[in-house]
Amino acid sequence: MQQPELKINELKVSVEGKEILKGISLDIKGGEVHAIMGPNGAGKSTLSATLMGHPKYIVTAGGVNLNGEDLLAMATDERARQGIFLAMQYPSEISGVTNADFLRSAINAKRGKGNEISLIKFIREMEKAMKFLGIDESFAQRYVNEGFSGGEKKRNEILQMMLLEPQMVLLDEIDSGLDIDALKIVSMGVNEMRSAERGFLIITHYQRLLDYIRPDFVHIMMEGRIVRTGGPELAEKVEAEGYEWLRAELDFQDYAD
Amino acid sequence: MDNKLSSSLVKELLISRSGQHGEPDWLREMRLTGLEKYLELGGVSLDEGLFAYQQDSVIDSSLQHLPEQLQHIINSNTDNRSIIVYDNNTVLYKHLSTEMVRQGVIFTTLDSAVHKYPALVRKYFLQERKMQGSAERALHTALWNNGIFLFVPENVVIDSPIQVFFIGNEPRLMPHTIIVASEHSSFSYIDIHFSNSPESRSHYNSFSEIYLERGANVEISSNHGFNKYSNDYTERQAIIAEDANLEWIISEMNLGDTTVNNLFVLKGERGRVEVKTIFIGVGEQRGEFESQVVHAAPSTISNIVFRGIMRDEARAAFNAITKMEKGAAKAETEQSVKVLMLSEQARSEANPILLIDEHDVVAGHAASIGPVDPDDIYYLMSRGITQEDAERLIIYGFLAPVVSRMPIEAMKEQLEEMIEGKLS
Repeated sequence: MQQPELKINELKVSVEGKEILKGISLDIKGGEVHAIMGPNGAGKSTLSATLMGHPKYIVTAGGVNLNGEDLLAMATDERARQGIFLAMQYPSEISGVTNADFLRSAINAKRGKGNEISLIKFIREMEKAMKFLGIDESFAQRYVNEGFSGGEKKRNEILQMMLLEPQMVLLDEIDSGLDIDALKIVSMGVNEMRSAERGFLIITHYQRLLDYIRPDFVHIMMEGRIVRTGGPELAEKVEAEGYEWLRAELDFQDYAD
Repeated sequence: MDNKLSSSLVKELLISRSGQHGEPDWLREMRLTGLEKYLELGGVSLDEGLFAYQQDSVIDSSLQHLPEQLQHIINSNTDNRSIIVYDNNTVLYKHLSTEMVRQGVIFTTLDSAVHKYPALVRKYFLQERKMQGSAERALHTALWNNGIFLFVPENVVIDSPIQVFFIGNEPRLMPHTIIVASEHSSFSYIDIHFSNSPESRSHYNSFSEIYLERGANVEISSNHGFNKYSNDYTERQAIIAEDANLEWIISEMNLGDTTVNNLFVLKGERGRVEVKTIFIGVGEQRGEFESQVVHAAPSTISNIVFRGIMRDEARAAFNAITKMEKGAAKAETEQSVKVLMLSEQARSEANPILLIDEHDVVAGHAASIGPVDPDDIYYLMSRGITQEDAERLIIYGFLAPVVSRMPIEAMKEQLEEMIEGKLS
């Protein structure tokens, strides 16, 4: 399998007429784990939603390629079928649709007509992944995210990731609202999926997630730009000292709106 | 040509018809009271078509002459089926399982029950609500012309669902159904009312009354599917005694105008009722749906669910009404009225109404009207599902609380086909 690559080039994005991303460049290859940290309002979630193609986010300049193809020209479902996966911070609740039906529809959408997964194979794979994540059997027949606790929703996102086997995984604050046990399980799922054929972009507020999922690169995002890139030590410094030292080092005049 | 009849002639016709069918005095009196009420309420004038009545039954145990879609459903059942099929006013098919006969269950046409079990029928027939209500109700009381009587004795448990099919193409059909679930009996019952001619014009006026005695457990599924030239006025009423439990699943799949009034009275402690209705409004269809529960005893529980999908220029109102009478302490009710609007020209109202005279109760209600949430579509698409499939999943999921409760697989398939038809 070809090593996947997501190339973000000088991306500018507006929401309701306001520019949020002011030129983001990032190159993520299979096998790499990138973490993006930053204060509230830095534009972290805007980046992941834009990559997934949420209609609210308007790209005004720059581009994104996945394996050399123009990602921005694709609709959300096409992006997913090409290998992008976004674990969302606030996944929707879909009443009346069971998790099992939803997952099978998603897997089959990717496999295409005439190549659908057999029911037996699907159930076997789903049960295996559920067991790995410590998810109760009843989960498969519950409606998608309906009545789920915060932790269950996050586990469900990771379950989907494991079954869809994407090339490029975006995790948007997968750690928010999780207790330490749930955090460990979610991290275990992510680590299980780490491979040379898969890249990760992890968005988080807290360094503690990175204790469990060790990143290769840490990027600090502030006011719509990546202002610093380093290794895991950068995350530790932010955790210990906050973002003020960075603000002081940077001439934020340039970044003022 | 004017077909209107004078009220005195109408009365004469009614008396003479009642006599022809050998109806007992109390029944004739009930019909006449209904007629007076109807005239008093200023109901539309009457024509001779109204005096149609159940014809001599053509009872046959073969399925050959049944419409194809029914053959499929009936064949897919096991042999211990109990089924009555009405084709307009004619009984096309009737079968009782040997098990039910052995258990002493009475399952027959109302006309025949009036003659065979007059005291039993009289004990229940419209005894609870009598002549209240609308002109349509009064008209039904005066002129009901076919129907079902089901009596399940104490402690009898029936395993396979009892099924009734009403094919309604004639202009005036007024089936009346009486179901009695004696103490600690348990069974499920299905009734399907539909037209199988695309052009027929039926003014359908049906009424079902159900009595659940202590500890009885009854599941009913009702499905109405009349064509767009027909209109359907339907009332359902259940009286629920202590520790009795009723679940009623209703799919309103008519293409024409539809008015529904459902009333459930929780008369005994710990009685329970769940009533779930789906409706898909298409074309210029009009719908009025009401489910009302009266909590008249302590620790009673009710759940009213409406799911509407509105297309084209359809209009519908959904009213969920719960009354908690004084003394209904520890009663609980939950109402959920949700309407998906798939067209900007469609209109809908969702009215969850709580009328509470007792302070020690739990009541919850939720109502929503709106289009499919674009974030839900986005979420499904982010997993590779196409927009079209995402919308389908969401819409079918929206109806799942009702569709998934259909007790017979072949009927579930038929309902899914009807839904498919209304959504495509």
